[in-house]
Amino acid sequence: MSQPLDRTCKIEPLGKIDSAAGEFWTHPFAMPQQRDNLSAFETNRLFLNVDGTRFLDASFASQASIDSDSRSVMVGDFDGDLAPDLLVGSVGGGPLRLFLNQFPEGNHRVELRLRGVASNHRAIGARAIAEANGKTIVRDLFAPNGFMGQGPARLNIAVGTADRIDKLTIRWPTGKRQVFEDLPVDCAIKIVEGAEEFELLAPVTSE
Amino acid sequence: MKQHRVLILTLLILCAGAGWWQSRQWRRLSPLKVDIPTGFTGLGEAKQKEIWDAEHVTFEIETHVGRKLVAELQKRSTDQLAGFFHAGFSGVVPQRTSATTVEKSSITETTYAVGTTGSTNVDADGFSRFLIEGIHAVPENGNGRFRVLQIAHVVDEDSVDTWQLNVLLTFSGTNSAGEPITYMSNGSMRCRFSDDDDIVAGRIIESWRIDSETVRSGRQALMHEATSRVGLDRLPITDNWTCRSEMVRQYRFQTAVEDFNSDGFLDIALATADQQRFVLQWNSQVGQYEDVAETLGLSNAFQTDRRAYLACWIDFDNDGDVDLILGESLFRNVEGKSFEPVANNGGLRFAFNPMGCVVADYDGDGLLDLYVLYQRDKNGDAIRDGKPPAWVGDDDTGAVNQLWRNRGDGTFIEMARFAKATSGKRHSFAATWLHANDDHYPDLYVANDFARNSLLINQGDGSFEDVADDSGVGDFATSMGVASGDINGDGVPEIYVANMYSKMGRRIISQVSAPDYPAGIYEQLVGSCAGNRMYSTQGDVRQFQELSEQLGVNAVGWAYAPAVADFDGDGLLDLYATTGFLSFNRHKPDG
Repeated sequence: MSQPLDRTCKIEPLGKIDSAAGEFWTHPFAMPQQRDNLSAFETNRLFLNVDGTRFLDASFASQASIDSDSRSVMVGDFDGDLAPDLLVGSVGGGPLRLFLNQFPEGNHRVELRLRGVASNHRAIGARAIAEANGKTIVRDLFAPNGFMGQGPARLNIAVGTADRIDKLTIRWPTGKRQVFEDLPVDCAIKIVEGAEEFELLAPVTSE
Repeated sequence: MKQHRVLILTLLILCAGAGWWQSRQWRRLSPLKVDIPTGFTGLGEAKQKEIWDAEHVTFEIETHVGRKLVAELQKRSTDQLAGFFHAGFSGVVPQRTSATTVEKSSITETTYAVGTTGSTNVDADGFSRFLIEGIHAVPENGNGRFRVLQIAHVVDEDSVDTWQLNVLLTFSGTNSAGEPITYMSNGSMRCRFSDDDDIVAGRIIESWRIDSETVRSGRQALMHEATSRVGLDRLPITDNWTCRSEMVRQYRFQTAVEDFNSDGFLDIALATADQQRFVLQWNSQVGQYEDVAETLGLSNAFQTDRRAYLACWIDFDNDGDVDLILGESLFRNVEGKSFEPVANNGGLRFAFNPMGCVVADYDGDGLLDLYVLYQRDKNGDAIRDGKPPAWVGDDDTGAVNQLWRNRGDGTFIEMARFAKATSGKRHSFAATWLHANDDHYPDLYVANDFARNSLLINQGDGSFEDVADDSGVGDFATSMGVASGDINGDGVPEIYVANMYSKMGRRIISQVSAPDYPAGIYEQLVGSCAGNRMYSTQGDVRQFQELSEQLGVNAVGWAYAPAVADFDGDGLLDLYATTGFLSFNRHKPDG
């Protein structure tokens, strides 16, 4: 246990301390200097969304549940297979660690590369509404920064087992909307604000 | 080492002495006169002692009984397990007749719960067999933990104490086929003993009821680490685990990921508190990241007298390639081949120790703007004007966040106060842009370490309105990170906030209540061990529900950055969350 509060106070123990077994009672600001653990070796968590109403804790199965006092995480497709990978920033056990997605294959994805014209060029703030296999998927394009780590501004949309996107609506940051129909998956697609046609991009891969 | 963060942690423990700390210790130790409210009594000494005893017993049971119990279970020995149970032990376990099964990706989760399958009474031998059968799928060389989640002293008679505990038993391991398997049981037990020696001897469990047990069997690991293969294991950044004690830092660096040279691969910019900066470019030829900062015209060392080590990609000149803020300087991307300083830093003047920044076009002029987060002023810890240093309940002791509006002429102008977007002065740690309502103007959620968080709704006229008080998304929770995305598939994004949490805090908070403290303190205590929160709305930005416990994403730990992504590609957003404060020694207990 650490002492309560205050950077200067000294408070006597109120009961027993089993120091032989490692129990300690110390001033909190002395803990790092004494190399005492504090919420230590907690493991990062990965939760899989089961149906929108509950999650399954897949932390251990992910093998990305490191206990390195992690701070930041940046999600992006680092190896070009369209699946989101994890770049984890930590203050212990290695500063940057990359975990590549190897979830079972079978589901389909598409990466949308939006180019704003009236909107900002990178279309940050755009919303994509994909309809596939009777489901509607809404994703917003921002460069997320959960804490001290900015991820890439990319729209990566997974559509499960659907092999086409029936309808794709882009709401550009200006508020204007464009609708496209019958789009392929398992590829990157470039869409320019105002252009009627979309463009399929050749994939890149680090493998 | 930031002192505020430790203060917040100790707030959890302050349960043992908040009142008298503020009323006596501070006055005695501070050379300045501090205005203490009259009638401020805080937690009674008997209650403090009660909490101390409960925490000590928790330590003793986890250390002396829990570890041995786990070790014996890993040996699968019913004979040795008998040594933990009193002669009249009574056990209750769920019947393993009809499991609740969830399949997700390559994981099968099987749960037996008393509430759904019914229960069976068992003796010590039957209980031991039940446990061993439960964990049989987990490899014997796996990890196991026994944790006390709650504890209460229930009987004290004839010098023998009886304690009621809620306990969590977990095992995890990967078998020879590479299949990850975990076991978890939740339940309650009664322990009876006369003193610490009794606990060490081990035969203290009088009864144990397992309410539920869950086994998760994976057919494969879902991610694989490529750190070494891609050359990220060679970054010359100081590491808490290998550096001298005086060099330990709570935070070390900020990172930003983008494809700066439009080759399709993600690159990494990074600046450290030790004034190093890196641009790690993916080299397809060798299949590794290489630091190209110098090649791009950026020296690896930089100067700052305000502890500014920002890393942020922003296409501020709207030419299609991402420009870079690294350290405290703005650089223009020149065709992905070099970075050149922007004249007068584009007008950007960062204050002390920016915690991060987020990018969006908030005013809809087609240019990207910048919101910068601040914790405190340089001398924010000082005692000033007779007031105590900043405290977690304060909403006016931090530094003011900045909102830099892009003027389109290569310069920015600071607009936070004008736009009503400061989020107070609440020691901000993180923020996320999101479309909280259905207009196309980006809104902003700000996660604050102190006081409450803000949900700033963009009015579309260059200003924001903070609706946190009305909407219920601003709960005091010592927040440190935030992410947003449509979790439940209704087309409206949820907000997932990373907060403080501690096992000790959760145990202690269950033993106290609001009347034990002066007004407002109990709420701070609850917030200080809140765990992560998930706020959901159906579109009304003044009406959110908090769903983290219901969804099973609350108890992450001392959390920092959450992230949303569809890892398994099923069309539903999943979560990843970082956690852990400061770890030094795996053989020492946690503080």
